[in-house]
Amino acid sequence: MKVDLFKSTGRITRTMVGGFLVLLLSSCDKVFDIHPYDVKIDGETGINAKQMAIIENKFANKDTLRVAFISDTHLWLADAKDQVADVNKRNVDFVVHCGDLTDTATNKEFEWSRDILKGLNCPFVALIGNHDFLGTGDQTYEVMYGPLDFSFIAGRVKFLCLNTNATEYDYLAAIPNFDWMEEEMKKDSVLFDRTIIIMHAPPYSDQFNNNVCKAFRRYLDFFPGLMCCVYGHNHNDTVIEFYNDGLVFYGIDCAEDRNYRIFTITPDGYEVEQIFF
Amino acid sequence: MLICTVSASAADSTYVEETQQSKYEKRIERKQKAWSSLIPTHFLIQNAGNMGVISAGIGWSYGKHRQWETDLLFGYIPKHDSSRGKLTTTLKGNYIPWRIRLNPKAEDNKGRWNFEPLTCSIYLNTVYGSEFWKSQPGRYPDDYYQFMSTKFRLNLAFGERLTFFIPKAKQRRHNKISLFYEIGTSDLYIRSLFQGQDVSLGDIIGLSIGLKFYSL
Repeated sequence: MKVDLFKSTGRITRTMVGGFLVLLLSSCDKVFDIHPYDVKIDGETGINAKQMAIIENKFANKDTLRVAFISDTHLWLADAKDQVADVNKRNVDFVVHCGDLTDTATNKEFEWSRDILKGLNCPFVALIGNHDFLGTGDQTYEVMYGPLDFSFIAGRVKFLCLNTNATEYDYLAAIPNFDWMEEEMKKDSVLFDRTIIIMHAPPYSDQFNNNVCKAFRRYLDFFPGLMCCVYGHNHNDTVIEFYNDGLVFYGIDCAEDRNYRIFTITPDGYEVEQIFF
Repeated sequence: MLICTVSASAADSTYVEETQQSKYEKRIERKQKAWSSLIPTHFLIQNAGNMGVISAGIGWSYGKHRQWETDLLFGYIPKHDSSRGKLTTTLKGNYIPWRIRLNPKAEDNKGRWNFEPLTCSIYLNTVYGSEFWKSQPGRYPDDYYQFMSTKFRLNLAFGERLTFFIPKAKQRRHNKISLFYEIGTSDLYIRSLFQGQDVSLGDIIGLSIGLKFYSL
């Protein structure tokens, strides 16, 4: 059959078929879309581990830290680019993204937001948001960024990044993971004196396991020198005490609203400014 | 006398047959004709297209100029970095408005070529796995995620085809073969094109190449 086919084709068709085959073999990765949720990641993976190593290396014992908190990029990619450009001008030591890197958690969206964040001229880490779970998004996040709960130390402050998206697991998983929190209270305790808790969805939100809100608050007190909590999710810049007990929660706005917060952490305390861009 | 009768019935054979066919036979014939339209007219195989790394299936072509096609495809998404490989099913509709004969005067034993400069396809793809839901599960508040489903994807594609008509003497299993390509995208990507700033058409389209083997 094949012989017949080629015998009767003109030179043009033969070239066309050849061209298709060459295209098929040479550029498999970029040209063909296998599935929006195929977990086939082009470009950098394992980002958080690499970036945390840089942060810990550079700033483990630094006196004054300037940390930018951004959140909820979704599909506001032009705003996110402007945000990155703005952060780059402000002499920041590192950036924490509080989750919702995507809107529908497709591979492409993960790649788009990652490629924008890679424009930062300082190290960055990113938490997982509830939108990043859709389809096989949590698996994509795990490959691209790493474990869903993670922590690092800079300026003798432990930054504890917690997955609080309990609704995504239908409340069947240990979210927030108290066992992991217990480990983290003691782990590397000689290297840090204070703690900042970072999460995507705050207590009493539609994603938090609200049955354990108060238990969660109790656990936070076991962390050395608890300073404050930072969260995203609500697309709103908020400063609030969810428990009316002096523990401040800072809500970081979404990219579309074109503002974020920079924390300046000194040995005596910290200052927070809201930055508009 | 006898010869005369025979010749008369032979010349008027259609009439004779009609009168001879019983109601039952007519009904059966109609039934067979109806069911025979369900026999697939072609087999196809294609890569990518947001249906998996490779998909294969059967299809039916119909219409006055066979300008309409319906394909049923089964695809496979390899494991990649996920927990496992996945299967997909696709129901696809194609419309082929024009066809150009490339060598209408070719000799019978050489085979003819058609070029179809445009194919329009719309297809619904479903992916199997507990990670995907067809509509938002009850654990979420109403309209929590502002799109329908993570399981079903509606895709659009446009392409072109080159069809080879196998000469009669050389037909074995098939009477024509089409090589086609399609450039398509998925509903989530079209959504990101409108919602997302800075997403260009080039970011969301993908190529698919395939072959169709027609037997009817």
